Amino acid sequence: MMPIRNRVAIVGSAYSRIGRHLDAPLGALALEATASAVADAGLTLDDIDGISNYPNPSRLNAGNVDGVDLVTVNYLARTAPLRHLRWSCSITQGTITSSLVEAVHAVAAGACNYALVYRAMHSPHGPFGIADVRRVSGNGEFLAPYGLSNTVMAFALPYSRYMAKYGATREHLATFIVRNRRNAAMNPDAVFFRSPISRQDYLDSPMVAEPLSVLDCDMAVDGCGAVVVTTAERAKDLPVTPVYVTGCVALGLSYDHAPVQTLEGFMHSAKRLASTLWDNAGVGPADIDHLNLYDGFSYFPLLWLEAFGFCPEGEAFEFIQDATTEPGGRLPLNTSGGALGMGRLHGSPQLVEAVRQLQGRCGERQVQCSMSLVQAGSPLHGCGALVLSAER
Amino acid sequence: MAVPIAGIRRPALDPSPLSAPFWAAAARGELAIQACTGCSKMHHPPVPVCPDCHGTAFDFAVVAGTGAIYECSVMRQARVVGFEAMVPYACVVVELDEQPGLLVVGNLLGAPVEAARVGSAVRVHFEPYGQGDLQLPQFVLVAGAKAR
Repeated sequence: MMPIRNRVAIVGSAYSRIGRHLDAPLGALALEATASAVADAGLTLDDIDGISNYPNPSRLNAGNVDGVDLVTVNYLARTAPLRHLRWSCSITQGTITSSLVEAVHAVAAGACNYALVYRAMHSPHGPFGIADVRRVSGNGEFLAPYGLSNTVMAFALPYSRYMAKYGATREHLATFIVRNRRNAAMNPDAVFFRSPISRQDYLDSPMVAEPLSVLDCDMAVDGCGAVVVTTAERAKDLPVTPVYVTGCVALGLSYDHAPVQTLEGFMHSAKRLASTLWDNAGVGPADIDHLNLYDGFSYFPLLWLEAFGFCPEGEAFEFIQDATTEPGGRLPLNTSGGALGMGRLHGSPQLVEAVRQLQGRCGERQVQCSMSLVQAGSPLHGCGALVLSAER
Repeated sequence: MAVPIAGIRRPALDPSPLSAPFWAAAARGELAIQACTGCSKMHHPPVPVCPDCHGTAFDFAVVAGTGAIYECSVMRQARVVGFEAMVPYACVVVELDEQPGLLVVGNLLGAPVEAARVGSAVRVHFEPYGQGDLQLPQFVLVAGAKAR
């Protein structure tokens, strides 16, 4: 094994416009974000020789029109265009972070010099996330007959167990939700920029599938996040402040056989990923001073705080109550506003924020930090995590 | 879809060779779980290869149908086509008494949805599916039982 240990750097990052229902097709937003990330690195599209993505449409029963419902590497290769590609990758599970891990490895192995990584998400008009299962075969036979085909309900189940096992309540999570939206209120890229909420707003928000309410779920948006990676040596020649990849891992495997997702299954997988990342990076929780944990569903950061060892298992809902994870605290968490504040962008609110905080480019929400933990994805779905550092 | 029962239109079930014995038992009013003939470990959903001993020969063992709620959720919105008339409805994940971690899913019937709580004791209850003689294993609370 040869860990990355700062041999690869992120040299560019960008978002497209982000909004609930934008006039621009997703293909245009992906072109916008990727071109901006390349320009941010001081490069041109002709320099890009690697590309990596998690292409899946963001909704159930989506169409598959390239440039509308999803944006594949094929679409960008021919439309951007990217004339000098030597390496491409489309992962089948995960988020932008897991496709970034592949790109980091490709750059380190010499498969390409400058890899572009992106995640483009589309919010269709009409109701989002309506499951329509007419005929079922396979493991769905044990879920669909019970009306358990909805994603929110599938993710509500492990949270119900967490609450019952440890005594966590919606009051506890309100602290995180309100703080997240306060952070988003300082982020001009966020869909909820200048739109904070109160504890009562959260407690009153309508239930979707108990114990998850509307404000426990990230909101579907149109938007794209993108980054560019290269070797630390090549980064020296670019007019940018590189952010170094100290360690990275893409795992997120299901080790337990069950008809549904369980809290124990989540933690089994999350702890395996966390210990692998610390080994790979050669650092531990005490070295981290900025946290970016995936909050596609509100309670995920609790599990990751515990899995990564920032607090004992079953205590994260108490750990987040004081100022430790606020901006200005020892471990500011999701300073971008996360997915709940920025919109459903599959890891970009964690990744791009870490890069920009370490570069000192975050304006009124800038925090003091030198080593950032980035994690995005569900524990059982190809999750990816990285330790990023300002210094080599 | 299956014939609607009480306004609920369930998806048509198309059992696979792996799951067919489960549904055949349910049609008889029995909850039967796949059990490895080599190591006796039970698996649900059914698996093609035993993850414990790699055996490929299985029986289906009739279980008591009793257990405790392990996880649960109450659907408050009409977000699944066919189940609009059932909202709000409780989905419960039940850990069966026969083996730690052996989980089966059902709706909680015969009680207000608020009664779906992690730890509550339940037992299986079969209801017609609306497709041939298929029956659906569901769960009801065990009256007077202490929560676990």
